[in-house]
Amino acid sequence: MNRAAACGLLTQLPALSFAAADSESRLVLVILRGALDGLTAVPPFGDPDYASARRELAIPTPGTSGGALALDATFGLHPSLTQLQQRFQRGELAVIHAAASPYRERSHFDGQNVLENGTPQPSGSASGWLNRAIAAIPASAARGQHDLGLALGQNVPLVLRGEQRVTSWAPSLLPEVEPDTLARLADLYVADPVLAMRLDEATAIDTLADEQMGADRLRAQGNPAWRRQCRPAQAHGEHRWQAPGS
Amino acid sequence: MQSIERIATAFQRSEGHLPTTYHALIDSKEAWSPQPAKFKTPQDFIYSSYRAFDIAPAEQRALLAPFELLGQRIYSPGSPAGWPDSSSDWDGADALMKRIEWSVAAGDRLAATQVPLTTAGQALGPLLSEHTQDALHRAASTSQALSLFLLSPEFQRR
Repeated sequence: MNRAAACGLLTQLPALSFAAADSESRLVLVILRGALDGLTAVPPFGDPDYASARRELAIPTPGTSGGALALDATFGLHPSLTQLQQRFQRGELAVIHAAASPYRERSHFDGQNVLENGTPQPSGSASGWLNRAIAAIPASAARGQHDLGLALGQNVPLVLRGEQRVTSWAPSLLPEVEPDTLARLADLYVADPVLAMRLDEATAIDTLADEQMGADRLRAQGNPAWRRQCRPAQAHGEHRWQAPGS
Repeated sequence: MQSIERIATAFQRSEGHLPTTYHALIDSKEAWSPQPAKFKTPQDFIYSSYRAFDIAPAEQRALLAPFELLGQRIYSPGSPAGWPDSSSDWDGADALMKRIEWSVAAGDRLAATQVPLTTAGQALGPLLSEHTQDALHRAASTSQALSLFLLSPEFQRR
């Protein structure tokens, strides 16, 4: 990984390539904060105990009605995951099944902290493993290193927080701000390094996003469908984007 | 950080005597610094905006939308620990952009009812800097001046 745009909390956005990088290689991390039933997403239909243990929850064997999409003789995918099956067949998908953190207590939030801080303890580190991973990218390979990390959401999730500068972006629901107002804000923040830096990042990202995704698709005014699609849901002060119907 | 150490030391030396600990807190020079240091949470920002403009939402539920937009849906901290209280939890680039957008919308809506420098002077008192006053004077319109006031470094902090 010599270049990475680390995108937390992404479920339903077109491919982005924001990071200042020579390479088009990106690492995209999606955290499903509602959790996922691995035995339904990737059913081990070939396991002789699977059907009896899961009973009405079991996904039927491939080839039957509502059956799994076979990956091999043991494992399949939920029938709605057809695109993931294609990726698997092209050698672009690896499934790491039945993996878990060492955390065995009952707090969902502490469990997420372990997942994000990359230590065995919920409060084991105030930084996230992805932020520390960015720090490990050699400086020579990381031109404009502060551009390497991007959180899709209003705020940066723990996994991407830490000493390395990262930034955040989310689609807007309000009309675009006039360049004149942004220029005056830049002047207003001239003696305030933190706000000046954030404004700089925010305008740079917005410009890129507009160029790459089409401003009209981001602005709810011109496209009510976008407003419906990107319904923000609150978690820890940052936004998750819910896919339609989720 | 130094004051945290001082307060922790006071707590330990007094074997947990709370009045001694409070004295250490009150005696720390940071407690007497008039300079706002902390980036407001969306909640602080929205409440203080309404107070600065001396208005109440026509419909109480109308107050809920900006909380959601700015990333702090009311009563829904998402964790039993409550909302985070470090500046870095709230001052992301995109969070600032959302505040800018909301402030522009608020400025547009309230331009007819406010005199920007008066509003800013009443809300910020001696904290209103000359630099910000100049920016408000020179703004292209009343609505822009109101937006710049809401977004000024002194109003964004507490």
